Amino acid sequence: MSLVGIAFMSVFGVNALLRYGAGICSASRGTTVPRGLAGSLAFLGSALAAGTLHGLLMRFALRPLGLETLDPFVFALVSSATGFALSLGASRLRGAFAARLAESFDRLAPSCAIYGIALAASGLARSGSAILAASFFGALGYLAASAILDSIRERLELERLPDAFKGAPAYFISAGLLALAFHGLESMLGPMFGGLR
Amino acid sequence: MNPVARRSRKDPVFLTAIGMAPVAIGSVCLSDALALGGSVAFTALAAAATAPFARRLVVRPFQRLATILVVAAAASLWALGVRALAPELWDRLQFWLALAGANCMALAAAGVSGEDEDLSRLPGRLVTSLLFFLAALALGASREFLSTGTISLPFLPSGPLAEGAVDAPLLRIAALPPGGFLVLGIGIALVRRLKRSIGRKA
Repeated sequence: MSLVGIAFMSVFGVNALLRYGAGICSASRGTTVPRGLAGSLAFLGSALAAGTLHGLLMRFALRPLGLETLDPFVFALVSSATGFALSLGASRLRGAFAARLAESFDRLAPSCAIYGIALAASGLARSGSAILAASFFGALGYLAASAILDSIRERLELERLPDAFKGAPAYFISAGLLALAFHGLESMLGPMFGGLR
Repeated sequence: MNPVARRSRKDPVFLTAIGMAPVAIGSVCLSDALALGGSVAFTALAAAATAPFARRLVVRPFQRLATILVVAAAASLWALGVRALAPELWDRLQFWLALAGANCMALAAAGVSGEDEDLSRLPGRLVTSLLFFLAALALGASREFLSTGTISLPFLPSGPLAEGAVDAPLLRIAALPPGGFLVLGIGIALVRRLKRSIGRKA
């Protein structure tokens, strides 16, 4: 699968819509969409670290032993460890920005978004560098889609929709249409970027 | 903000159930929905049952980690069961099964900090999980019918409607990932409309 494909998978497979569709999960730890420069940097850092570690563990330990079903458990350990290490590293730095960064690392550790990216990267990319690239582009795609979906949501609130379609149904349908556009983009650009394996 | 969302903000199973995305994308047919919906319902129940114990038995800094690990173990256990019973299904769904588990992990981490979460609420969580499971089945069955013109029952080669399957399905898009969101959105709108018309008649 191409980098665009992985970005697509990470966006629509990892619950950007959890917050977008229901509008409630911004209150949940671990599903917070990263905000601001600190949040985005923390998200990119967490996705890169957890995605790469998870990919390598899958490639060298779980798959050869036939233990893929333990994947969620292994990810929980890996993401907690990387989240703790990154948060500890950021807390050593001084200043308000470093404090926001440390808090973001802590909040993002068990995120399903990061897991989706890690899962897509480890499943679809085989070599170490491809796993690293897939983790990075997955995170970037997620951030871009979150921004697009937020803009669509704001726009939808101004539209006069039938009562039955207001709120979640309109969000899901517009997200479906956006997913369709990503799907088309993936089919068009995918061959240009080539496979990652 | 959606009033239903505000009312149910503290219900971890509801929060988990809202995480329909992996189920919505992955449930292309009824058997897929059975595996994915069951995974979320089972893991969400494990999360709801673990949160009160974690708060009582584990020291505060490790409560979230302990809950996440228990929920991850539940997700792995479900995946193991699916792999043992239906290896082909597991091959097809392993990505989505793992993702649904991670979704529950993240939301369990949210639930563990809910102060009013105790074991007396477990029956309510059981009902919510069951409703979610049924909703997932309805979604999978609708997508299968729209995309293939048939509904095949799990563990059987073909379903009761297989003979009447149409050559040119109505909506092939329903089988694609975007189709999951479209069917889900239209489904929610239809249920709302139905509830309103029943309310008017009553």
